[in-house]
Amino acid sequence: MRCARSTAAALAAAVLLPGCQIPQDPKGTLDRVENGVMRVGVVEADPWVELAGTEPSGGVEVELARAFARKAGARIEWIDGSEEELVNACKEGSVDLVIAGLTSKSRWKKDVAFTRPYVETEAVVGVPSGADLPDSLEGSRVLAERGSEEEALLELKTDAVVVSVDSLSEARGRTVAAHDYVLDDLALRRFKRLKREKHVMAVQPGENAFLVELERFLLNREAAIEVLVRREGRP
Amino acid sequence: VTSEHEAGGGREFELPEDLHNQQRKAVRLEWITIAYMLTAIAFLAVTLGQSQAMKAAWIEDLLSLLPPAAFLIASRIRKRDADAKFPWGLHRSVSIAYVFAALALLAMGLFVFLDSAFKLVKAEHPPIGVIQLFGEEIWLGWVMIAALVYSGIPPVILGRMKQKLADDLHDKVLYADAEMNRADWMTVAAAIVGVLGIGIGLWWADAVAAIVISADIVHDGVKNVRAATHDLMDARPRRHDSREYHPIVEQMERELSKFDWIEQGAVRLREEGHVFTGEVLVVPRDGERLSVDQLEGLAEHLLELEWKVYDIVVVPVKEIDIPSPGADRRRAEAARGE
Repeated sequence: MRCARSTAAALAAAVLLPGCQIPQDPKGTLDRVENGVMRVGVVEADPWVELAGTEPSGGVEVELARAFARKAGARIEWIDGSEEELVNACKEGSVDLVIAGLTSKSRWKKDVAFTRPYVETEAVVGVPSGADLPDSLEGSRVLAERGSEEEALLELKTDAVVVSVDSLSEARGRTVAAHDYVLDDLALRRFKRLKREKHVMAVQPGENAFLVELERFLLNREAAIEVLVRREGRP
Repeated sequence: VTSEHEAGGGREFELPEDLHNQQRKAVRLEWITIAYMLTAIAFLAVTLGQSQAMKAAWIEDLLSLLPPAAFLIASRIRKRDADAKFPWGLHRSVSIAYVFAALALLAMGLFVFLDSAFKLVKAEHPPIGVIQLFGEEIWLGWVMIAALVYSGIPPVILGRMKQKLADDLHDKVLYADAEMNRADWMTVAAAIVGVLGIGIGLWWADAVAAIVISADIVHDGVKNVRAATHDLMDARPRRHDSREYHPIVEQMERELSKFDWIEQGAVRLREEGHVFTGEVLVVPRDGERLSVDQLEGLAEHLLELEWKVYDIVVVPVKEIDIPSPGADRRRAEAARGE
């Protein structure tokens, strides 16, 4: 009992000490990254991470990582690899941040710590903006990118006739299954939702100061992120 | 000859008149406990995050619904009259509820204990990020602590009130429930230490706190499973707080020696939920001719000693062949005398 009491007292003292930041990182990631180097793992995931060779050339999460690094005064060291490689490296602490178009449903959530979702996107069926909304999709021809998740969801959840295409860039004015952020560019409006995705980034589990710093950064930028997603997601 | 307490008013309770009020109060307190704990469980559930200590505290709160539920269900069922199908009545429903609640406690305690130990060994670092509340980003750890305090303080007060009633009513389930509530602050304190530990960068504090909490749940579980199985094994009745044997057996045996026509007597009682039932064996003095009135009078006299004794059978015998405190003592004295 006495031991418990003194532990509690020590904890209380630590909490109340002036200038003592809560939460802290067990391994000091935030301290090391600030005005130092941030190691960012990247996996190609259009439009979130786009690579040219081993360096990123653009993408929503790449832009966000750059902005976060600027704010922290950090230089970024990009590390490319497969998701599994980078998640394992991040788990053990040799990568500070993984960006790979991850969502909150990802299987990696037991291995690395996800941020709170910073943006939500949807896979939808979009119909031409000008026309009336149809009663149902039964029998109508709907375009979807070949080999995409939307293609399968369309088959599974609607009665539409699926027309697989290589690219949606020519789909302007047609009924398509696509992500909601391309609707404006294709002059479409939402008709039916196929799937909702909450996007997250991953950091080493337990490095809570770093996690909180990153989450605060992301959550303060919701409007800017929406714009960024629409720009980067252009077909 | 058998005799049974006949409580007035259609035997609404097994309890004597003056305890009806306490019983009603206890029922009300248990409903309040359930209602409050449900809000606390919901609050904890939304702040749970990945903290193991929070999970342990949450599971303990979930389990703390069991004893009140057992108490409320049993207090409805137990007053049903005996019938052809259940000739001894349904008093034992209390014991059965007690066994289930105790087993749940033990199983969940073991689960959380192993889970936490495993996480500690694997050195899993719990991530706790921010939550948005009223447009502000707050570290989830602070919200967890708020939820823990909310879930921990009122049960302590409820526990104290229930313990008083449990003392009056000699009610085991109510007593176990009150004990669990009263000990709730320790769980809360341990979990807060765990969360603050994560806050200052001690990742292991969380798992250690969870282990402490789960060890306490296991301890409660073992204690209660033991007590509950003893009841079902017809062990000698204990006081509601299990501290010692209930004095009624010895008290009854002392009463027996006051009757001239009784040479020797022995009492054997068992617990059936809230009440005691059992046999009284009497060896009449030589040449004594017993009447039914005599036996019935004895049974009624003994029943008046204690309201918890609900149903006894008085049997005249030639020789006492059951263990009972009085008989054991006599046997020991005889052995020493030889």
